[in-house]
Amino acid sequence: MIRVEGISVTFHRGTPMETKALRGLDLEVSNGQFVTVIGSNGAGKSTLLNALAGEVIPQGGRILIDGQDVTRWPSPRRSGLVARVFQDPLVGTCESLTIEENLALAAARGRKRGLKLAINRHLREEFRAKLRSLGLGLEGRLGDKVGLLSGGQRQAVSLLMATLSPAQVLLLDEHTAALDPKTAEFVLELTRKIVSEHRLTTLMVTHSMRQALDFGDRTVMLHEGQVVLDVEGEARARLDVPDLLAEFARLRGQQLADDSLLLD
Amino acid sequence: MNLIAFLGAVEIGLVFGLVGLGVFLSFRVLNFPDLTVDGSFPLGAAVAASLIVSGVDPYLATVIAIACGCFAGLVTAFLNIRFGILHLLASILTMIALYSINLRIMGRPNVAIISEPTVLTPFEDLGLAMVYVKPLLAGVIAIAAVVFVARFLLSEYGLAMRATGANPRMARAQGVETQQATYIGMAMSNGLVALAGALFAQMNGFADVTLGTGTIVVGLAAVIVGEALFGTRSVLIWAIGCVAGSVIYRLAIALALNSDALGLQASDLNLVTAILVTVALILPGLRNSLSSLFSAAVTKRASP
Repeated sequence: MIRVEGISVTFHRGTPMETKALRGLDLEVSNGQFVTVIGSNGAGKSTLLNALAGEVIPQGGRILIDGQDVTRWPSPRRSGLVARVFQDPLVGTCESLTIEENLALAAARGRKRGLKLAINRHLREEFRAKLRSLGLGLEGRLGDKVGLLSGGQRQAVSLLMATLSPAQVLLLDEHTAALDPKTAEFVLELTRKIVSEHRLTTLMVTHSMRQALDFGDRTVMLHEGQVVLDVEGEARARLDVPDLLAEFARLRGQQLADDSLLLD
Repeated sequence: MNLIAFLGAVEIGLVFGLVGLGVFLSFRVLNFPDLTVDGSFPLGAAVAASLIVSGVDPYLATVIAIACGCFAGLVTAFLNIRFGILHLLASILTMIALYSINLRIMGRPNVAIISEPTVLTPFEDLGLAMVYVKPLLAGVIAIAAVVFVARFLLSEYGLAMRATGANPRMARAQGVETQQATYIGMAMSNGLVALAGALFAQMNGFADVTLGTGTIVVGLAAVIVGEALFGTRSVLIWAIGCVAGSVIYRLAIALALNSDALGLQASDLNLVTAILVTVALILPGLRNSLSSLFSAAVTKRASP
């Protein structure tokens, strides 16, 4: 379970560049819930995910994961609880390491790393089986450098890495935004499969209204660092893309410029 | 080139192979351009020589020299991590400081240990001439260092260190303590370089405060020659390449200096090294543009 209690994050505090990214944001996500997060640019979506992952330490408020106060934990310490897939396929995997080395790195997440060999025959078999389940033919390329893979393949490997060691929370930061539509669809389907298989508590940031409503079981809209819309169940099922757009427009007090939002 | 010159080049190549391994750890594995080595090489020499002169067992003196090198690496890493000083500048600061420290350690610009016991002493009675013993011992130590570095980099912690250098953000997300990995990597790197300095002093019978000048370039030359000849397919091959590259580089230098046709003098060594490293650094780019020229020509010919 994730409990976010009134966290605030300000960048460049005390300078003319001061930006309040989160202003006393509250959010509670129960175990196994799949939440989609939307909001315009600068609403605080990425900052929320960074705060949950430990890349940004909030100046105020508390973050509890699984009952533990992790507010001040740096990201390596949190990695046993939180798995993450980044927007940029280049960030989530390490291109100069091989596929199996990337997977081995993820398999050791959340525990102490010692001097025994990072990869052994047993692990290699496990990796091969898991890669086979992706259906991308990667099971025969364990020794290939990840830099040789396409963006979609790298995101698929990233997702697989997220499941290799037990995590409570999966954070997806627009992880299909950099992919072509067909690949994005594949990665989303894979996401759905992995989340339901591992019963992960998931937060998925997306720019696409359609995705936000079609995926998961709850949708949260952020605006100026706060939660302004929070729907699930019946109410969410009745909601459609135009309703969300209307909500955006109302928040901005103006007709929405469609530059930053995808309608489908 | 006669046999003595050949063995001498192999010996010095093997010793600087350790420098190559150290530079490989900082420049390649951690992606941390580290010039501390120009100070930690003479540091190793100074510590070992001074301790040996004052009656300490040469093996113990060498171990202490390694520890001092590790500490120098930690200082550079600390300046970079704790205070955010650019790596290059942090390492230059440590290097400059080490110049004074090395003078303090020795008490004078150089220390002679030609008549003192060294790590070579136990092998003197084996009935083998010293010209053979030196490269043999250097070879054994270099091989041990290669095995140690390669095995470490294949371990869970070593893999985490490689990820730290290649993609720190991803490494942290996978639970790697990137700062700790940087500290340990920098300590190992400069420890290896100090070991090279300690061996150099004992094999040549002296330590001098100016020994370190250009150590980084020689180390880089070893890494680059190794990469060019052996490739980077696996960390073991990469590590072997560092030492082999160093030996080959020394042999090439010795050959160049020995051939009268080229008219080179021993004092031209640094210039030759700098030119060699420069060529090695720009060669990959040249090769790419050459091969693209070639393939463009081929496609042109192939098309009707």
